[in-house]
Amino acid sequence: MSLNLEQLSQAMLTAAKGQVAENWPQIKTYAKQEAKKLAENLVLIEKLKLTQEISDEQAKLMHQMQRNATQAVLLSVQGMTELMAEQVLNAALDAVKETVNTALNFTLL
Amino acid sequence: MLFSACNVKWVSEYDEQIDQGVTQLHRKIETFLTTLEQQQIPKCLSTEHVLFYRQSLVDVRALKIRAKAIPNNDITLQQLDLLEENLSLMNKLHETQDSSNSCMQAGMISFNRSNFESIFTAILKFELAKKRQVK
Repeated sequence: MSLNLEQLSQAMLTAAKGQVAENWPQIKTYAKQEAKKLAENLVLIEKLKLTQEISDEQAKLMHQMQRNATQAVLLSVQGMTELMAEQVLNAALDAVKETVNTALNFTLL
Repeated sequence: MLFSACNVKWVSEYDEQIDQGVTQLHRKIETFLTTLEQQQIPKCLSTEHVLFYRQSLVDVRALKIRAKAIPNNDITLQQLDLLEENLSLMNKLHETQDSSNSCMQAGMISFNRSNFESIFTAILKFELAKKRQVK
C-alpha cells in the first residue's frame, strides 16, 4: 500500500484545526481579561501618585511590580500556546499514525 | 524537546505540589493583606511583619527548588522568580511606608492584592493547562 500525500496532509490538517479551535479561544479570553486588570492597576498607580497617596519611590516600586506581573501573565500565555502547539502536532501525528505504520509495515509513529 | 512514544513534549508535566504550594502561598498573602487592612499604627508597620516576609520568601524558594527538579519547566520557574521579586518589592514598599509612620493606604493594599492575584492566576492557569494535557 502506498501513502497518499493529499489524504495524509488533509487528515493532519483536520486534526490540527480541531485542537486550535478548542484551545485558542480560552487562551485569548484569559489574555484579554488579564490585560484589562493590568491596565487598571497602571491607572491606579497614576491616581495614587496624583493624589499624593504614594511617593515617587513607591510609584517606581509599584511600576516594577506591575512589569513583573505583566511578564508572568505573558509567560502563561506563551506556555499555554506551546502546550497547544504540542497538542496540535500530536493530534496531527495520531491522525496518520495507523495509515503510515500499516503502509510501512513497522511502527514508525 | 522530548519524544516519548512518538509524542512531542515541550512543556513539563502537571505537578500537584506546585499547584498546592502556590495556592497555599496565595492564601497566606491574601490573609496578610486582609490583616493589614484592619490594623492601626504600630501593628501595621513592616517591622511587625518581618516573619511573614521571611516565611513567604522561604515558601517561594522551596517551590523554585521543586520546579527546577522537573524537566522542561522553565516557564513556571521564571514565573516563580517574578513572584519572589514581587514579594521583595512589596516588602520594600511596606518599609517606605514605615518612614512616614503610617499604614499602607487602601489603594496601595488594593494594588498589591490585584498584582499578586495576576501572578498567582498566571502560575495556576498554566499549571492547570498542563494537567488537562495529561492523557
